[in-house]
Amino acid sequence: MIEHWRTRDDSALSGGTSGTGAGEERLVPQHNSDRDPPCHRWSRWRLTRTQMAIILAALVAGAGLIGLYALYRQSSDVAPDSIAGYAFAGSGTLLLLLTGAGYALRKRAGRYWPGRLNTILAWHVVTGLLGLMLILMHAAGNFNPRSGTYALYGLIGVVASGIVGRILDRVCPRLAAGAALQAWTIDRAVHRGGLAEELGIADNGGHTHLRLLCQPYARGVPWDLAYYDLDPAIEDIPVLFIGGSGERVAPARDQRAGATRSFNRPRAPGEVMQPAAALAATIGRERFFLELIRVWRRLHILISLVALCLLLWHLEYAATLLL
Amino acid sequence: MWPATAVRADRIGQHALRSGYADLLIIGNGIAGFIAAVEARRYAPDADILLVTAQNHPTINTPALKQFGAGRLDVEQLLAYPPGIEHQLRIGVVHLRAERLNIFARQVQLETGHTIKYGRLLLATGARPTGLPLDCPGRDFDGVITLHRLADYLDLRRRLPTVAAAVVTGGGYHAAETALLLRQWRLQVTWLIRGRRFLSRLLDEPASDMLLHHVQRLGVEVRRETEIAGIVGRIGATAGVVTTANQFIPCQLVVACTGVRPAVDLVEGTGLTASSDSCSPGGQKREGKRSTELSAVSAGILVNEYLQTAAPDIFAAGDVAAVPDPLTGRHETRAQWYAAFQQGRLAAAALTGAPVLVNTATGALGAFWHATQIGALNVLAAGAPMLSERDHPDNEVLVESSASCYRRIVVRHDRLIGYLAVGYGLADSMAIKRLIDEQIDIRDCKRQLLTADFDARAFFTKRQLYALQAAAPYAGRQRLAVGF
Amino acid sequence: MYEPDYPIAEELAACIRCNECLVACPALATPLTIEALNRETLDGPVSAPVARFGQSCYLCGACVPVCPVGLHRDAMMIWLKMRLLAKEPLV
Repeated sequence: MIEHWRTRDDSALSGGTSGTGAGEERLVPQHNSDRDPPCHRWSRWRLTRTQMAIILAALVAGAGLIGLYALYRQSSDVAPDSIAGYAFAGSGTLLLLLTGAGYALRKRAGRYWPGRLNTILAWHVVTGLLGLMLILMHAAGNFNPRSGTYALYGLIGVVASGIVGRILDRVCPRLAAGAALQAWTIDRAVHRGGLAEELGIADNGGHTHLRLLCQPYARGVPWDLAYYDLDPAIEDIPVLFIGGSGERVAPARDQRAGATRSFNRPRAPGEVMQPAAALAATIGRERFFLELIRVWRRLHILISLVALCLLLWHLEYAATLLL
Repeated sequence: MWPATAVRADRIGQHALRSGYADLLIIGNGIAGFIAAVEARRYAPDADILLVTAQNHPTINTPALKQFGAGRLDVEQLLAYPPGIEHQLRIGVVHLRAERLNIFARQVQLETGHTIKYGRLLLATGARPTGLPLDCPGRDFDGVITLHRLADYLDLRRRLPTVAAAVVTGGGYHAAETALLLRQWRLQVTWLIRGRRFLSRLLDEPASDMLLHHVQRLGVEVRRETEIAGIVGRIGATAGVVTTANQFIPCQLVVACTGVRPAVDLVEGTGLTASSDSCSPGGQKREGKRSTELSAVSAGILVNEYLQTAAPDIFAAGDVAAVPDPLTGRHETRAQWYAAFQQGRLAAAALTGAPVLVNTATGALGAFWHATQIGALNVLAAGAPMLSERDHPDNEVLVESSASCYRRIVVRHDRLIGYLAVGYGLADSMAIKRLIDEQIDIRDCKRQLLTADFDARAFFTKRQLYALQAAAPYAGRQRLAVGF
Repeated sequence: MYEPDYPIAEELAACIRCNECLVACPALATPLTIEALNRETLDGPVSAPVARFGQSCYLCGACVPVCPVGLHRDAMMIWLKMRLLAKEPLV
């Protein structure tokens, strides 16, 4: 029968579940920490199989290049314009152009599925590093020709900005989330403290919390304040008990809100200014970290374009040598 | 009486059939009904919850069906919840059709003859596709389908390799999405629209034209003010369509997307649907006895803002429920995913007597809201965007139109009551709904709402900060330097 | 990105589960279902795959323009990150 489950969850009647208080009743199910296993907290970084495969391929390729470079250094013709030097230059340039263009065109290459873009990003990083290695092997310690040196510096700048960018991508979101959490905490404290109500700020957007009085349960429920609120405002008491037909009922007060509502209690200027200033500051901090990620991404693209121009300059110089 | 082996029910469902009782009986396992069951379990851990459905598969994400039809999703990705969730939450499921409702005896009779008494009943029977008219010649040829359920999309996917040309008929979102879905499979698609405008109840002429031009640019041939006069077959299979303009269009597939009507068979004769005096959702009264039936059928089950019907302990949610629109005052069905989701959650609270978060301005469900994408164009409609000065002298209609975007807002006393946007950029859709639901003063951002400049986050954050700041009990206002 | 009284539950309810945001995401390495992500973003226990995704998301915003319904998946991810950092439930 219905009645037996109706009385098991008196918190649903009294309006305070999961310790949030009637002021924050929501239409979504409450988190029941007694039943549900705990959240997975911020876990350590873990690699997927695809990522491990890419890293392995990169390590093997890198080791191979290092071995090749060691052999090359033992040869008699170690110079950027040697046959081996040109080979390193050509393959490195091709790889780097593929790195840039491939990532730029990633979304146009046919159908893609969840996870594909992450794989493409991983290859972008790996091919960029391998391309830099090849160009360093091409340079073989020679930095005399001006265009070549600047092109190399540009390339190093691109790779460095990419590495810094990935670090920022790892660090900034967490910092931004921390700031957002702090903002949320301040916001909730303002509402729980009753300050929002005093200021007339819409609590949850101006919602009032109505009780769906399903008639069989409203009728026969005693006029006992213990079913609603032990400390309501005097003007609310008649309204609390006029119901039973789905009419609107005043919300139960949040019993954890500290002192009873006292609109007339004078507040110090700082007491009001502090939450607003704190909220603005934390939101500003959150925005800063998010903007940093975006700015750095644009910077990385800008440096890449500059490096491309320097590369073209160096290729023009190399062409004059060859032709 | 059906043989026991033909009764399709899980263990809990079988028990309910034997006992003939359920605390919470839910008819229909669309998203509204299923969400109601899941959420009701959280509010009432010990209640007997029984779900009765004529559908032979678990609840799916119906908006994702078009992605599935286009081949971008696998069928497993359509499941709304992990497999086995019903068993995990001890929700009994019976796969039988509910045939009769006896309000006074508080019981429902199933097609097998079983009767189930209920403590509370939720009718979430959804909607039925209108399909082609019964008198349409050739409607029973192979190749004529009505796209509505999963089985229809499975059928469509199987047919596509054999189809070179298709005709789509209908004047709503579903028809547009279907036409574009078929274009993705490189079919030659002709779309027939009965009226002059696409989605005439929700879009004005400029918005409709913009969408239709866009669809045409994507390769769909659009014919307005044209219907199917008949379907030509060849040895039982579709060969083409003759239109009301006396033209023949060769095709192998005819897809009817002519709208849905609430599935109210279960409540016929109970008085829970609209009376003959009420308007159909289009706001147009029709003549004669047939019109009464049509009004009753198309208007759904009347509910109040808490989804309660006129009968005690009976609620309705989803496509079948005609909810009161806070802005127009009319009862209308909302056959959209978000509305069904919302109503399912509200129904769970209603069924179990749990507290409900309600917005005083626009009620428990808020204003109408629908956002979708037609090709590359985003469409957002919220509130009552088709209201005009004719409907209320204080209504102010503002329109902004360009090659890439069309926006129309309706404002009354500096409160947003209707919003329509069609274009490549999308407005902050939930923020628009919030502006309408909370009846927020928009005098400072009226112009931004018409352009793409409205930053909802900054707006709501500043509002909160200035409100906090406004009560500072000292002379003069110090504006906070909000750095964004 | 944080917005006071951000209606996280409403946004999650409006999600039509089309998967476009997951497809557009460059941070998603392990496939997960949009349903699991939505459910665990709001409240309740967070499984390991969702927690890892919540951690690796770097808020690039690629998920926002592809959403056909105009929702802010990036704001929902901020909420998930907040839950992973918070010591007690947020709702």
